Amino acid sequence: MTPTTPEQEGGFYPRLNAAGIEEGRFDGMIVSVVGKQISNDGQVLVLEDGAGGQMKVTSPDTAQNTQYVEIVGACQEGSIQHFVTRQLGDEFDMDTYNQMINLQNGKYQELFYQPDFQK
Amino acid sequence: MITSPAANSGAKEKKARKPTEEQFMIPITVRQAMKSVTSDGQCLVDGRDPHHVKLVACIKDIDQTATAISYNVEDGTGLINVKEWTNNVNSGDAAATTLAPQMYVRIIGKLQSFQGVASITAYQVKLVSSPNELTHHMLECIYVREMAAKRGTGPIGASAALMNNVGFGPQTTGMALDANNGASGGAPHFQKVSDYIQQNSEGNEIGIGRQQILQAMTSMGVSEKAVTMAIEQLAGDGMIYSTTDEDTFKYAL
Repeated sequence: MTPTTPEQEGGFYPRLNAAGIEEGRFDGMIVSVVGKQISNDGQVLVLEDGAGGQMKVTSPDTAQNTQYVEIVGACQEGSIQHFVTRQLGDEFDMDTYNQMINLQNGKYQELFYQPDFQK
Repeated sequence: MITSPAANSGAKEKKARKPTEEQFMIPITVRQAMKSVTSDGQCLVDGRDPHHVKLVACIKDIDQTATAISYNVEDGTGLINVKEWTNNVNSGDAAATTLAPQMYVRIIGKLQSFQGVASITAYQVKLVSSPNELTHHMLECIYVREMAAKRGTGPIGASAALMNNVGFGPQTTGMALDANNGASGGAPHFQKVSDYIQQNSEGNEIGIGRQQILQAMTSMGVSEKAVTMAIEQLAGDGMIYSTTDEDTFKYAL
């Protein structure tokens, strides 16, 4: 009998960078990615994270966005299926954000994670 | 015990005003708010009942009635309801029309629980001054948790000395900031005001009031006008931010 995945609570979504997506731990879950827009051809939006890694968002919002955006969507096989876009302006500190999410997903999960998903 | 606005005659145990040293505001995540609810209906964060909490979260939806604006907000750690009574809102309808879903806001208010579910009664719901405030707030939550762990259960006053000794990340000094911000603050009084706010808001979760800054600076020979200009400049540059009201400030870095 396969173990069932706990249900994700409303408002809970792990914040990931490219490495976090690639790790595969949150595949099938709703996640958040923040990055600088590199390209958007209407089919795939490419974001660059604070560590220089690239993240792909499928079915992106085609409206004009600021340089930095947060995308919340479903993590599926290494890319993010777009749900919502949040504008983060043109002067977002990606390096500090990257360090913050490393802390959030590492030592301080207790402050940020739904208990079922804490490692 | 929750005191509702309508409970005029029913409040048998009217809460006395907390002494000043117990009136503190802490930054929290929605997850911390949700976990704060105890079995007897209190809200305790790191073992203490915060007078105010600060939250930075994204609006999911807004519902405005005649008496209140109700927001559901999320920050990636959970979802929580925030209620702002309209008689508390300075600009009334203006605030409701400028805020919309998918915008990040800073919320300052009281953490409460009802039937085991946490919620916030807000005194202030404002757009963040910069999207970097999200990152800053999350880091601040981590910082305050570390401080609480180091302090144990002692009173907050005792943490002032501790804060100066705790090495958490790079230590930013007034001199370093001046180098980064040279264009806006070359005058000596600017640095005096900046240093004063930094030193006096570090050990204090709410920050320091404008009147106190004015009194201290004028006694050092700085004109009231110069102090006011310096405060505006510092706030505009993001080096200080207002906390419980427009005249209370805390050092940002």
